[in-house]
Amino acid sequence: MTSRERRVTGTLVQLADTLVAGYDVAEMFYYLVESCIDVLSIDHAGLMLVDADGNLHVVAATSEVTHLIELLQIQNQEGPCLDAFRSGLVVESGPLTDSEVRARWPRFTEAANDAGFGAITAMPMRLRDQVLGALNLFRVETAPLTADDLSVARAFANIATISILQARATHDARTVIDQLQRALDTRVIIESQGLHRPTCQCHLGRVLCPYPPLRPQPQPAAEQRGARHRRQCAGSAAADRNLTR
Amino acid sequence: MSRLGRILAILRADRAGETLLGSVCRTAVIALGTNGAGLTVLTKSHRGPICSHGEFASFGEDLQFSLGEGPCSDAFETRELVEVTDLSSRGGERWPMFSQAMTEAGVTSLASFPLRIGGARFGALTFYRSSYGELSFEQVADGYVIAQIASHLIIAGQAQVGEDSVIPEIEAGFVRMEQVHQATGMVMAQLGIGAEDALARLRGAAFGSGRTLLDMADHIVGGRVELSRDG
Repeated sequence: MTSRERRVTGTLVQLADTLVAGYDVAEMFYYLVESCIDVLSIDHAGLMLVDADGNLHVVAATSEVTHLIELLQIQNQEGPCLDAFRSGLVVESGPLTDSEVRARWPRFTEAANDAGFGAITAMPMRLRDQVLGALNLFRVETAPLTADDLSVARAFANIATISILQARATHDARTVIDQLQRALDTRVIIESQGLHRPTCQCHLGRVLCPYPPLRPQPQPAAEQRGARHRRQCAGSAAADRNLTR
Repeated sequence: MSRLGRILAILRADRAGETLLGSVCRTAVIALGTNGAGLTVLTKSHRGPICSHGEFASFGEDLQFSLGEGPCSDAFETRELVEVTDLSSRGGERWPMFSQAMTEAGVTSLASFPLRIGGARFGALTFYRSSYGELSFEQVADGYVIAQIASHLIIAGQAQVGEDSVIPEIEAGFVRMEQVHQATGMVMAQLGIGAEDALARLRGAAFGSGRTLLDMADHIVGGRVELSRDG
């Protein structure tokens, strides 16, 4: 296995791991763009994703300048990355110095040229007909990406997309799971604390009375939570019933 | 018919009087052909048996709760299937007290599937068997599907009841365990120790006197037994 093959495989394995184990999504975004510049013949990369309201956000970039250029595309609603997102297709910018390219995306090409970039490949983050955003590959060279690089980039983008979709579904489930776990932990505390502060109502008072509190009657869950359990001790209950021990 | 279809057909059939999670446990037993199966909810600090079906399962789930050891917490921790195929020889290193008691009761193998959605974990589905040998591929595949069904049913149910309650089956499980928590509180107060230490003391006392934790708790809450400071 060549060094590059090893790095490609390594990245694929890491990305695939995010499908199985819990992970930090933001970390994965950075891992994705960093892996792209590590493995592909490109100089910088950026990732933009859409939120629940349909607005694109830059979630990771390998340099400040790259981040800025991505942001400008969103702000100006113009650029190859936006086109890739909207169409769901790979967009090769072509040389940024070309007059046709400049005519297509005037503000973008100006900013990208100033930053020293020669061309961009924008890869949609897509699963079937769902497009989450775009993975954008910036380079100083003007030539398009090789077929090899394109297929590797597509593999990275696809796994990352599946992982993000799963993370979003898990996030929703996780909120509910947290509720369930809190319910269990809280219940233990409430039940144990209920007896921590028994309210003894017999003449001896809590400190002196040897009898344990009676078990409370079952109550609806809402009342149990946070409520002090009012209990009578067995002694006062016995006294009430004129029983002796 | 697909695996899921076949399992759902078992789930839907003959449900008279069963809770939904009770039906899941019955389905688990029928689909895999094991003696028993049980569901437990877990957090990092606590656990709550929910329900079970068939032989050994109720005892096994309660025993894991009593002892604080067993396959369900391993499945919860690792988020992976935990399987022991010969409990008397292989379970001893991991769960000494649990394995001994289970072996004496006639259980020879166990398999515990984690309940989880993605990386978020919250419980386990445990199978109890009196036969030897690993689960077959088909049994493991069925086990995973049933664990997923259980996971999604619990979470969907929890999402519906909202933040301040739990689904009825889990509520019933909590109520069963109430006495243990009450006894924990009493031990905390009597000995001036924290909840986890108190529960550990309770478990130790139960095991030492040959009682289940539930039984021990009943004695403590009833005032018939009080733990001393030395043990």
